[in-house]
Amino acid sequence: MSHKLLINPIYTSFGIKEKHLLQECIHCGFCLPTCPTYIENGKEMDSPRGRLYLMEAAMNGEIDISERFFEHIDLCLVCRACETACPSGVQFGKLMEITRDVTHSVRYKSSVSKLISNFILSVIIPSHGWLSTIFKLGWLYQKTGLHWVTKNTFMKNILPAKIRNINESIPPIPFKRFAKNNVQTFHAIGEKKGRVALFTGCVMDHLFPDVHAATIRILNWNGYEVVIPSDQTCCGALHVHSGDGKTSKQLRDINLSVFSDRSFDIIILNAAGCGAHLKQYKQENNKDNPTYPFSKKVKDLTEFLATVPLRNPEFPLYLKVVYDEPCHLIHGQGISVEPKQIIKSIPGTTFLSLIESDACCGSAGSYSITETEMSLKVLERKMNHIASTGADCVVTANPGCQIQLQWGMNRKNLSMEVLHIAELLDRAYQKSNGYPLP
Amino acid sequence: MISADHLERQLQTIIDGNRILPPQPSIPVKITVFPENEQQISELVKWATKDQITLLPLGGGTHTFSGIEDLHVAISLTKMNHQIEHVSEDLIATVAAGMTFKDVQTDLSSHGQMIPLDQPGKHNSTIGGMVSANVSGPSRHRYGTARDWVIETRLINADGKVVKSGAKVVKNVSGYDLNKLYIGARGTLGILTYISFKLAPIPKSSVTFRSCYNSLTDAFALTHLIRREYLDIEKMVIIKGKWTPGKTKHWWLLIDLAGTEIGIEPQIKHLSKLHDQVEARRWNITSKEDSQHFWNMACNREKSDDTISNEDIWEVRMVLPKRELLPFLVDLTISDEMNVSFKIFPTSGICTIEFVGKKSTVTNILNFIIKEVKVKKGLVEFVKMPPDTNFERWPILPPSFPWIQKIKRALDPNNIFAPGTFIGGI
Amino acid sequence: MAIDSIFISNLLSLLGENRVITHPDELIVFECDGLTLHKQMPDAVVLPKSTEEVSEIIKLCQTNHTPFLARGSGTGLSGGAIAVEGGVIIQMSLLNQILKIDYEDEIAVVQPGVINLNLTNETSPDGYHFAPDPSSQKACTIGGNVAENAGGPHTLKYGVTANHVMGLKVVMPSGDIVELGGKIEEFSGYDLVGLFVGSEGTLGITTEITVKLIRNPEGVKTFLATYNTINDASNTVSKIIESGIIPAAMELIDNLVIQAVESHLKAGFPTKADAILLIEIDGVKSTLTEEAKRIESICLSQNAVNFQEAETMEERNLLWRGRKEAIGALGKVTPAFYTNDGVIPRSKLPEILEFDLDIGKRYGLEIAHICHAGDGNIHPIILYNPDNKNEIKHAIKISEAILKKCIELGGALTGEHGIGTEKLSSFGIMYSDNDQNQMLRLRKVFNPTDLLNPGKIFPEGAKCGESRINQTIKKGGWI
Repeated sequence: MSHKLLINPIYTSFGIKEKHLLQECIHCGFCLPTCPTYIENGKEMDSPRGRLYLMEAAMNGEIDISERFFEHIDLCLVCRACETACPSGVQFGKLMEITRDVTHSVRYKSSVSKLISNFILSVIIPSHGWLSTIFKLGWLYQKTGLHWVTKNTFMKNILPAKIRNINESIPPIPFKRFAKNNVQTFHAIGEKKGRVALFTGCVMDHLFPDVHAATIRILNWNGYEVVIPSDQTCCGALHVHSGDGKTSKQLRDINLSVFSDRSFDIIILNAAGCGAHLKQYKQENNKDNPTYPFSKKVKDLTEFLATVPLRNPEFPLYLKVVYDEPCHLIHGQGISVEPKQIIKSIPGTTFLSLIESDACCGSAGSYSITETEMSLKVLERKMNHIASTGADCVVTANPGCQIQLQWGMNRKNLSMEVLHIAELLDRAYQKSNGYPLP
Repeated sequence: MISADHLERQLQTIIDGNRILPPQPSIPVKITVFPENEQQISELVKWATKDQITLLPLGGGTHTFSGIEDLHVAISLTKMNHQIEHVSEDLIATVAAGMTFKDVQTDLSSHGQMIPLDQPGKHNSTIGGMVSANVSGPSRHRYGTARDWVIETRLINADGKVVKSGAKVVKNVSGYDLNKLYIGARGTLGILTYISFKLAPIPKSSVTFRSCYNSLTDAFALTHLIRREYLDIEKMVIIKGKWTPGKTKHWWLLIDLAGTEIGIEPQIKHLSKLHDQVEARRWNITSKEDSQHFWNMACNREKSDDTISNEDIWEVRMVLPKRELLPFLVDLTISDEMNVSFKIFPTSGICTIEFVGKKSTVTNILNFIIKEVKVKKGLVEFVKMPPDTNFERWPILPPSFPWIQKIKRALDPNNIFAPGTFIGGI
Repeated sequence: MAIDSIFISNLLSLLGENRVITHPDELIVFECDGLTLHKQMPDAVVLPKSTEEVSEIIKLCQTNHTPFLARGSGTGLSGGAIAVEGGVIIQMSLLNQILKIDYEDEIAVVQPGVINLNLTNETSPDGYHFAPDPSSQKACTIGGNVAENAGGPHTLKYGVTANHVMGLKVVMPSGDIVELGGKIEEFSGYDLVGLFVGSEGTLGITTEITVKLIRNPEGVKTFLATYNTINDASNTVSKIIESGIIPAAMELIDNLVIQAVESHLKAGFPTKADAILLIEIDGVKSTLTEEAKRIESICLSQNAVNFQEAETMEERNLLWRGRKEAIGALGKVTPAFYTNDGVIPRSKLPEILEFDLDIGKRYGLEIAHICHAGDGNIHPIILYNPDNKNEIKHAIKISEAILKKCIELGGALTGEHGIGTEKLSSFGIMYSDNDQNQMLRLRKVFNPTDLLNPGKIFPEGAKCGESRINQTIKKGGWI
């Protein structure tokens, strides 16, 4: 498939503003060693600088918008480590989203894969009904032992490699998602200091309801009433990463209206990927747009806890902990100190340093499914670093990372626990008198 | 065979007659000339190329030439000793190659600056000679060698042309760094005429620690301790035998601490404490002046014992990976029949050993040294040996030797510059 | 096209599909390095994983009469990593292992694709570091440092790459694998290591490097001296040197750069200052206090209006981040800039800076300054509008004039970026034909077919290549 100059979608869709964004790159190469794909394969085209160069070349009509081009665009994890490294502040993530968006229509003009991907992105993911049904089936699949059979018997050799990898990476699926179809309110314990909303998302809600529960207990314990508005939907980050800007915007509008008229001060997130995306809502519009107060209210749980007088855990939790930084927390939101402080505040816990803790684990939304080979290489590197620390548990702050790291543990036969930071803090609080029981 | 007379007649067309002299006894040439400027050297080289004359660039004559076949003309640079250009605020000086190191240092020291190299042997060592031979001594610990300080050279090449490399700046990557190639080339690639150095400030204050040990291992103990400490050490050497003024039986360790007037005091205390941890027979702290005699001896500046016949002296210099040096030296079995002296730079992996003894006595140990150092990928040079011995001056050739030969052929195609005097007979 | 399908299939059978790049739509990213002024696409890029593979690639190239060269991270600023005459780029990024760290001998053995800062990060918990610290150290490779003889702010005290390399494993342009130097402190015969370091990849391709590891100093003090005139700041530099103190680093930054840094990074530079000096001393703690006092009094005697010490590690790191990422910050305030790398004897600093400002005014272009002042290595950065052809021409003219002035003042063309393709036209100002011939003879020894990295350093060898280079300045990297 090749699309030459005339129908060059990048050329027409990239405006002057985007051109200037691209030109902010001074070609210094700072980003190269921070890019997981460049570290793995050493190719300039698979580095941030190379990808920007390709975008510009495509924009100028110097290269074809072909599968060869997409290969390098797709291989990007959008972990945005390059943004942290960039001395001239190039907005790489944004440029990648635009590129994927404007090439989307050309790329999947009429293919089965387009139909399937569209169906998943625009029908299944935004619907809690669909998701519940699918995860119920998944629950059954695991409970009946079928999952065990496909993972551990000859069956696994029959499956194509890609399906096998996905099959093996599925974490235990809970019976029910956390949120309900009506608004829920959880009351503060002790003196009430404020009222916050919880953004429940899709993956976290359906796969890790315990993390939501822990998040709420932590907030309640620290004096905050937590509201879960009903009808909220997926944040749309997955769609943007896959180039489906249209659905992403629809989802954004739903969320904006759901969260628009409430009496809470802050919108709390415990999924870094969604947080980074929700904070970007404002960038797409100017300041007097209704999205502005919304995205200003968005706070990651750790970010929020750092701004309030946090109750110290009273009883020690004897654990050796490493913290693996979710890309969309450190690079996407610039949050790195806060979670570490929380871990260090737990008595009895030893905080171990992790080499390349700021590097991607290879999960990256749907990346581990679409680019399994690279994802596994990136994961392998991550797990080697983690294994060398000798920790009891790895803490992170994003559901995708949790799935990926847990899979990494299984693959390497490691017995370390993978915890969301909310689960760790919740566990530390649990012996305190009056703390709600799970 | 070209006769000295013939050479003299030819030379007189290029250079003033009173600048042409018969050779000094130890220099293997027929005649010596003393050019005064680049122009004359250039003429000499052009003539040599045309007439297939071989040239031996000479400095102060400190260097020995044992085992070298006769060459035609020695070009002594000692009359090119007039010029020094010193810009003290740049910390840079340009010096004519024939100036003695001593004169240059005296000049620079009045500005509190120096070329941080150690003068070998006698007072008449020239700058050009020292750079060509890449000499180093106890200061190497802190300052490294000429390759760390030479920033520009002028050289008369095989075409008789003046070629420049580098500039009078401390940082420069314009073109190939030919300076590195000329340093230590022993005059086999051309004749150095001017050399620019970056300079070092003379430390405001320094003191010498002198300690004495029963064994080499004891002497090394302190040098190992020091590596994990923070001390500003300027010079360091371990000596035994002829390089010490004291009893030749013992090992001496000399350390110069450098610093500011106030800053040096805590360092002295610190090093004193370290001394208490090792098995020294005794040690003391002396002013630099009080230890001058020791340093002079260590740097080989005192006259050697003339009573020993040249035929019995074997001076061998070796460079090893740092960690290999002590075990290697401990492994050397030295019989009582030999009179042996050591000069060791422990932090650089460098050691010079002088054996005084008959060939039959020392052959075994010399062969052992060559074999062992080769295994450890080190370097051996016979600095002095009796005439008519069958040891190669550089018995170990590096793997890159074929390329060294090619360079020599490319830059000196007629093989006129000191042929046969350097490694592998180049 | 310099290569044919048989040649490519030979490369493919040697390295496999994944490590050979031949499509123009991918090769385009290799058309320039940190200098976007010169562009030329290679015909193929290969990614070897061993010395032997490098040797095989080179042999194939020789048989096919195809030019070839090595490339690291492509952060260089003189066009050193572009394929001037097309041919094969040997991309070293997969040769990225630290092979050995040995504190007893105080050396490390690394492959050329190891990132400079990674070696320091690896050794710093044990109290050691790799001394050359170019501003690109987060990204540049040690192989690239060897090729360019890279410097950095701390070369003032610790020397450049050449002072820290002990041994090299080199694949010669013939394909022969040769070890130069080794683990000992001296070279046997001619110092080939010294010759190879800084030869800009024109004599051979390095596949293993033995470097010195340097013990971290006991103490470090970093100072920020503020000046109302750039002249006072530059006078201070040689006064400090003359006083007998060699700081670890001494950097001069002018107002334009200060403004850019403060608008973006907020390093704590005083925005009203005409110039600042960033001075760092290190060494034995007991000596530092005294040196600090002397430096302060020299700065004040040269009209510094403020002199302060970084009190915490964070403050120090921030100051250095401001310095090292300054050029990136400049990218935010100007659409394009062109960086010069001239060197002068440090006492000539006031003179050259005055010259710069003057010539900038004459052409109507602004010039910003970030100098490794202690080394006399200036980095005038010429700001211009890339959409204005006149301004591009003027920027190049200004840069050439500055280089000419540097040579007049007894300096050199380049302190750390190299000649590359960028400064070919100025090479003759510094070196006579005789000087160049001496160098070319050596090049011929190692690179007789001139297939290794043609069109670099020497204007002589560049004649055929020059026309292929596409000269469009975008931006000028960093320093």
